[in-house]
Amino acid sequence: MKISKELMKGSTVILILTLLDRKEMYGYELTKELETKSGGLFVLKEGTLYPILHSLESDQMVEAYWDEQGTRPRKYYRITDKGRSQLENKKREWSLFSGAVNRVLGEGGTP
Amino acid sequence: MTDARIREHKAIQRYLDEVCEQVRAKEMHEEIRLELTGHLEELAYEKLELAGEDDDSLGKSSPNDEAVEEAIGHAITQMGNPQTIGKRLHRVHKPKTDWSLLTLAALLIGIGLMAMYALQELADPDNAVSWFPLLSNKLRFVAIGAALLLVLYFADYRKLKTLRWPIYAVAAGLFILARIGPIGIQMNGAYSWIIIGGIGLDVSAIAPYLFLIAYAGYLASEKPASASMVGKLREYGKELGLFYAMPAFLYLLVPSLVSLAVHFVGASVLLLTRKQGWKRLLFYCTFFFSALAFVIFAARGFTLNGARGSIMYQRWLNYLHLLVGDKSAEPLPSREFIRSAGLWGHGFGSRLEGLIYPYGENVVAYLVGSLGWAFGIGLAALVAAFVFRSVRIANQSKDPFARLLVIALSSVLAVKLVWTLLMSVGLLPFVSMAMPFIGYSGLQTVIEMAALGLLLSAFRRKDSIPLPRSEGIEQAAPQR
Repeated sequence: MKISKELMKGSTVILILTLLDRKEMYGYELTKELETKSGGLFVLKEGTLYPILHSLESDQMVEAYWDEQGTRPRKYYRITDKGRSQLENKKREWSLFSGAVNRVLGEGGTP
Repeated sequence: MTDARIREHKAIQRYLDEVCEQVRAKEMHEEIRLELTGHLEELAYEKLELAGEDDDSLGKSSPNDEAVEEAIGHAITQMGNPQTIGKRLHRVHKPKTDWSLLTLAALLIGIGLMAMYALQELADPDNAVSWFPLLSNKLRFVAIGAALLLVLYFADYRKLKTLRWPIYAVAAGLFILARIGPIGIQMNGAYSWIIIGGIGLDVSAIAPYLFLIAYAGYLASEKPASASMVGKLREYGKELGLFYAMPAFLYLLVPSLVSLAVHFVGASVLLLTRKQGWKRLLFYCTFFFSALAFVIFAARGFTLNGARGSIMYQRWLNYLHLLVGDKSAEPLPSREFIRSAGLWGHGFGSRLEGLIYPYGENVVAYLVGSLGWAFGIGLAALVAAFVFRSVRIANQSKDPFARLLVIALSSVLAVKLVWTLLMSVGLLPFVSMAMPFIGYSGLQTVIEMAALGLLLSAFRRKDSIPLPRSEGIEQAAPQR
């Protein structure tokens, strides 16, 4: 089953920040990580990741740097303190929201 | 090499062109291309590797053209629509305008125009300056300032970094011009003014902007400190001489202690943003103040006796008297005028007891006295918001020179704004300084609007400055 676009949209930022909180990553690595961690459920058009990363960078949620050690230059992203506190907020918001949704769905009867 | 074959493939290049076509900030194109190429390459590789598992050809021989074509096709589909990505990237990197800073400055300028109008048309006839075209002159300066602001807003502020030495030379040259007639004139015992075509330019008021722009450029292009003690001392000596001692000498020559103070605060703030900057600052301060003490003691009996009659000396002495609550001290006219104003003020037409230069150094007193404390509180809030906003611009810039430039300019403006407010109520020594944007002091309004233009220019480009790359740094290093 595929997840609808609307549901994806609201959660990409929190997913990206969570993954970057664990490890500094470059774009390609991040999409792969997103795919594996979600069991292949989150497959996004990979190019759309970059506008999100760049706007997080402009909002100083993440900072970027070039690593030119390997065969090809890679732009790595690293979460900032501001990004971390934003992530905490988003997580709290998410658990509130998902908890509420689950409660309503639970009332429907499926045990 | 398969790498280059993928990277330089027509389809990939076309894809990147289509993305970049949407992004108007050209400076970002290279970075975006590089980042997306990396991703496309990895995707193509991934595909080739998967295909390679079957015939076990990868790594030994080059994959055939057909497989590469297919892999590239796959990578591009996987990436998504180039227009969509380009449009979204454009939204992130497009030029930004800081409307709130612009609005705050416009409010301050508006208040200034109102003050000029009131002084010309409504003020007490004894004090009114109806003989002088305050309003129309101020309007003309605002118009010139607005034009300059627009030019600087669209121009690339990074050029100032390369122009730092010419800017420094202009600042120093202005002091010399102020000393030579008939352009330079002596006013109230100070050689601070240059008059060209009836329009005055207060040199010591403008020099801090120029010196500190040069200093921001100097700090931004600073190389890592040299390891040897001798090298370090030489660097510190150069910095101390160029940005502390030389300006101090020129300000004292005028003399304008307040410009020296403005310069010193700005330079200190700049230095404190550097790593280990406080150590350097401590070193310079020790040197600076011992030199100052030496000058004062060595020159005692010569200069100070002569200065005893000067306005500056009287004002500073009186400030100290008032500060310790000496009843015999002369009351400060601005403070008295504000104190008696009450919440809603005397009105514009009231008598201005002893309030000299109500359009210049006493403009705050005139406005707050006429319109009351409520207006004063509003004015203070406006100033606070302006300073806060400009600090935010510095924080949001990723370019180190932009940060330094914004800090330099906004600290000059901030010190002047805050000082003129506080001196009017007697909390700081009363000096000949007109409030930025509001007061009338020759071409000063033009310069302040130019500074504002540079602040806005730094904000405008905050998201279109590419990240430094190690190659780029290596190229930039061997300058000489």
